[in-house]
Amino acid sequence: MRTYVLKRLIFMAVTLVAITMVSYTMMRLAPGDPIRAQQLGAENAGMQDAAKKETLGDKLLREKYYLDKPAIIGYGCWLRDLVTRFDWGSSIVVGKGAPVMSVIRERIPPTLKINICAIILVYACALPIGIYAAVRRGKWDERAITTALFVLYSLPTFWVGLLLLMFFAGDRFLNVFPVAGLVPDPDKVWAVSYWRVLLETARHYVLPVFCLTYGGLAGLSRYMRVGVLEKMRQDYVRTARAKGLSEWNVLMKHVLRNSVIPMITIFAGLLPGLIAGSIIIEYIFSINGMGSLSILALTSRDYPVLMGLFTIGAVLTLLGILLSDLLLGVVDPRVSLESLE
Amino acid sequence: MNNTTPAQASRSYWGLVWAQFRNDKLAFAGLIMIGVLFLMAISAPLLAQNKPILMKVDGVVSAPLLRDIFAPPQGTPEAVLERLFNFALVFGAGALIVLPATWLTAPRRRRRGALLVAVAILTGICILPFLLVQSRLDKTDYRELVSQIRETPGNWAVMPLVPYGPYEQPRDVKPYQSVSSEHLMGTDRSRRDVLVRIIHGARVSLSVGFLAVGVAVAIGLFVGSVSAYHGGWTDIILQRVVEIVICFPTFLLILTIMAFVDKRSIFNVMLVIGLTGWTGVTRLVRNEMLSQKQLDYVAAAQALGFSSWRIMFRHLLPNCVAPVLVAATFGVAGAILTEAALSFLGFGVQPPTASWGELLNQAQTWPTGYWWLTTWPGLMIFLTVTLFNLVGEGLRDALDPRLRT
Repeated sequence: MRTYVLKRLIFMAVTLVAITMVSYTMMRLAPGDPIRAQQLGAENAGMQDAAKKETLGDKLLREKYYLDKPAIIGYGCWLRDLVTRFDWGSSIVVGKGAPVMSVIRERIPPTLKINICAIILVYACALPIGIYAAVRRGKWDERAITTALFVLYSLPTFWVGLLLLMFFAGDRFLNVFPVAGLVPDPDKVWAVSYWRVLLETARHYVLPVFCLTYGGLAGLSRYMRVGVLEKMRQDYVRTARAKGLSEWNVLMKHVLRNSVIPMITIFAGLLPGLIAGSIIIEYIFSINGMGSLSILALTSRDYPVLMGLFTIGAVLTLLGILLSDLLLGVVDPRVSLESLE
Repeated sequence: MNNTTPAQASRSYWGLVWAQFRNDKLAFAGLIMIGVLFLMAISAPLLAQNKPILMKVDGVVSAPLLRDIFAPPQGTPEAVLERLFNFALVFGAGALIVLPATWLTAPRRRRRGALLVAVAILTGICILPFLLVQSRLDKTDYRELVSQIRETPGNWAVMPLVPYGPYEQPRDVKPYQSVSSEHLMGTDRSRRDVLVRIIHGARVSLSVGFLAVGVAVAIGLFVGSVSAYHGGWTDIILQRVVEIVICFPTFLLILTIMAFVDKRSIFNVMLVIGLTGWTGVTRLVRNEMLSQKQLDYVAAAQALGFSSWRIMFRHLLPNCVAPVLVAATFGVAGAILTEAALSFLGFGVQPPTASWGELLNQAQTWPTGYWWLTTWPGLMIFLTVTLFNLVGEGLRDALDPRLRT
C-alpha cells in the first residue's frame, strides 16, 4: 500500500513538472510579452509619449518575471522559486503586482461553492435516475428519460446558460433569477431575516449550478443505467431472486452496491470537467471565480497567474485520479492496489 | 434477420455493419441530416450571397456570382477554406452532370475506366478557374440593380435564396435588428444578416470538426500502433507520455494556446484541438492491436518476412479501426462544441469570419434583448452536435451488438 501510493506520488510529481513546463514554454514561445501588451494598452489610453520608451522600470519588470531569459531557464527559475521559497511569483496586472496565491485564493470560494453544489446534485440525481431507467427498461417512461438524457448530453452549456438568462432573468419573460454574480445586492439583504438572506443567495445559485450540473448528470445517469442493466443480468441476481428476495431488496442490496463502484471512478473525470465548465459558466453569469480569473489572465498574458491556475488545475486532476483509484480499492475488495499497476 | 440467406451470410464485415446501421432508423436519419448539413455548407454561396447567380440585362447574360465563387475575397485566414468548399461546390455540380452521362454512354466493360478518366478531366477543368480568375472589388449594389432591371420586360435575374453576403453590412439596415420578413433571423452587431452568417458558419464548424479529429486520429493511430506492436521500452515510454498528456487541463490549455497565438484562425483551432485530443484514440488502438497481435495472420506475415511497418499499417491497422471510427464520430461532436465554446469566449475564429460561436458571443452582451442572436446559432450547434452523437451511438451499436442494452 505505502509503496503503491509513493510510486503514484512520484509519477504525479513528474506529470506536474511536465504539464507546467509545457504550458510555460508554450506561453513564452508566443510573440510579444505582457509588459509590451501593457504598453500597447497605455498607448490606446492616449499616453503615447510615456509608453513609447522602454523605460528602466520595464527592464526591471522583465527581469523580475524572468522575461529576459530564454523560456526554459525562465521555467527553471519559476520552479526554483516555487520549490525553495514556495513563492508563486506576483501577478503582472491584478492588484498592481499582488502575490499570485493571494489573487487566486480570493477567487477560489465562488468556484468551489458552485462546483460542490453541482457535484452533490449530479450524484444525488444520477443514481436514482439511472436505476429507475434500468428497472423500467422498454417502458414509455424509460424511453422518455433516455431521450431526455441524450438531449441534455448534447446541449452546449453556453447556449443553455444564455437561454436560461433569456427566459428566467431580465425583464423579457420571467424575472425570477438575478442576471449576474453569486452575492445578493446589499440593498436587498440589508436588515432582513436570516432566511430571506439565504433565499436571496440561493436565487443567485440556481442558474449557474443548473448549467454546471445537467451535463455531468446526463452522462452519469446513462452510465449508471448501463451498469445496472449489466448487473441485473448476472447470475448472483438470479440467485437472489430465486431464493425469494423481494425485488426491492434485490435491487437495493445486490444490484446497487455493485453498480455504484464504477461511479466512483467517474468522479476523477468529472472534477477537471467541472473546472473547465466553470470558465464558461462564470463568463456567462459574471461570477468572480477562478474561471473569470483565467480569462482575465489570458487576455492580459499574466504568466504567473496562469502558471498558478495551470498547477492547481493539474493537481486537482491528478488528485481526482489518485483518489478514485484509492477509493476503488477500499470499496471493491476484488481490486487490490497492486493489481492496479 | 432470421431468414439468413447465403447471399447475406457472405457479406463482408463492413457490409454487415452497414446493414446493422441501416436498421437503426434514428442514427440513419442522423447520417442523412449530416449530409444535408454538408450540402448546405458546400452550396452556401448559392443559398446566401448578394450577387445574382444568373442575370440578363439588355440581352447580355452574365453570372456575377461566379467570380465570387472562383476567387473569394482574400484577407481572412479562412479564405483557403472558402476556396476548398467552393471547389467542392463546382466539382459536385459538374459531377452531377458528367458522371451519370459517362455511366450511360460508356460501354459496360469500360465503365470504371471511363468514370476515372471523367473524374480526372473534371478535376482539371474545375481547378482551372480557381487558378486563373482574379478577385475584384465589386461594389455594385446588385439588390438595387435587380429590382430595377426586373421592371423592364425581357430582363431577368436569379438571386440566391437570401440576397445578403456574409460580410456585407447593408447601409439601410440597423444593427441588432430583430426578426423580420426581410431578415428571417435578424441582424447582428455589424448590420449583417444572421441567417446568412449561420449558413456560411456551417463551413467553419464542419471543417473544424472533421480536420481536428483527423489530426487527433492520425496521431493516435500512429502512436497507438507503434506502442502496441513494438512493446518493451517503446511501449512503456509512450504510455507514460499518454498518461501525462491525459492529465493536462485540456480546455485551459487550448484557451491558453489560442490566447497566445499571434494570429488566431480556424487552422490554429483545428491543430490545437487535434493535438490535445489524441490520447483516447491511442489507447483504443493499442488495446485492439495488442489482442490482434496474437492472431495467426500476424505470425504468417512475419514468417513471410514483411517489415514491421508493413505489418503494422497494412495488416494490423485495418482490423483496429472499428472502435476508432466510433470515437472519431463522438470526437467530431466534441470538436465542434469546443470550437463553438472558444469562439463564444472570443478566443476562436476571428471576425469577420462567420462562426456560430461568434454569434453567441454577440448575444452574450445582452441575452434577454438579443434573443434571435441566442436562439438560432445555439440551435444549430445543438443540432449538429446531436446528429454526430446520434450517428456515433448508432455506429457503436452496429459495430458491437453486445454493447446494445
